[in-house]
Amino acid sequence: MIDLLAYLLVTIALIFMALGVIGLFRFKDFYSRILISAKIETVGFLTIMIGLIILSGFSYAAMKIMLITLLVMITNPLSTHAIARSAFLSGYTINQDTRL
Amino acid sequence: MKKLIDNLVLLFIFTGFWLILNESLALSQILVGLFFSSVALFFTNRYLLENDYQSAYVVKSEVLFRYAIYLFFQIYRSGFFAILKILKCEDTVKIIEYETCIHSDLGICLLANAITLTPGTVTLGKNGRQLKILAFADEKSFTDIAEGKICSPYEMILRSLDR
Amino acid sequence: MTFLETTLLIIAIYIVLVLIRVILGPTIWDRLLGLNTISAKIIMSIVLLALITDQSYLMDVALVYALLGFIGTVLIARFIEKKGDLS
Repeated sequence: MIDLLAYLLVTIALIFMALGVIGLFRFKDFYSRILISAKIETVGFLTIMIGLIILSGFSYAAMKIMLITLLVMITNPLSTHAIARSAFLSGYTINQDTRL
Repeated sequence: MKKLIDNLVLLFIFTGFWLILNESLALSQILVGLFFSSVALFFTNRYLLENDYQSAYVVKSEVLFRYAIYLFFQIYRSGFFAILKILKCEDTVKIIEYETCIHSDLGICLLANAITLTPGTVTLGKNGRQLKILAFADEKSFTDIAEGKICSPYEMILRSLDR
Repeated sequence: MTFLETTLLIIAIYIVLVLIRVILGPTIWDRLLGLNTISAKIIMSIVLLALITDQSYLMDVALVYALLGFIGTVLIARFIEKKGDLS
């Protein structure tokens, strides 16, 4: 029963990540891409990790997954912020015509 | 006395990390973990930080816990809105200038991190209390507040960090 | 194939798709964004692999990969922002 819940969570995370990949190709501007795709990653990562924690039960592996999740939750916004700030300070403007 | 208790709490947290990484609860592992945690704590206080660990990172655990719970629901709520954005293909963005009502530096950094963590908004820059936020064109939660001069619910929780 | 192996396969397909974005990407920041996304997906696949083969020390590799990917992304972003002047 509890395994079914974990499988459901992992499936939801896979759907989230698929939408993130679609967004990466569908938007034409870099700023909208970074708003959507990197952030859908956060939701997908959190969901799949919760699913895997439930799946592995109460053990050392579950605690290690918790540590990894905590680390990624702290560092992922920082690297997104670094990329966006680098583009902003280098003079990338909104609504620039991007060729694909 | 309070400082000693704070240091002891940090020591136990670090030892917990050591035990999880080593996957054992043996007595020798606990002793080695305590030794390395105290060495790490001493060197961080002595050489890496200008002030003490406690004065640089003063966070009440109760505030942090409430903030994490609030952030968890907020991430999922705006995640679903982001999915609607992808399906409708709305890609106009704007840059907001926003002034927070938090005064402590650590609180502003936590707020900027939380803004980047929720889907749909990314912090671009921070200058004192001014934040530059990149958001979608129909994002309402920051412009409304900037006119009314009331704190957003994010900041209400973090405000208790101010002293 | 079990459920976890299927999940691993689907994540691998996502990585290939994002790699196309990295190759196409008009600006350098698109490539950097793709790199960041791929790094998050690789962490997930290492954790999945550790659960499939039941060897929990593979999780340490994921921990180290998370730290190194973060440092690499921030370093390249700052390198471009300062136009190569990192002094």
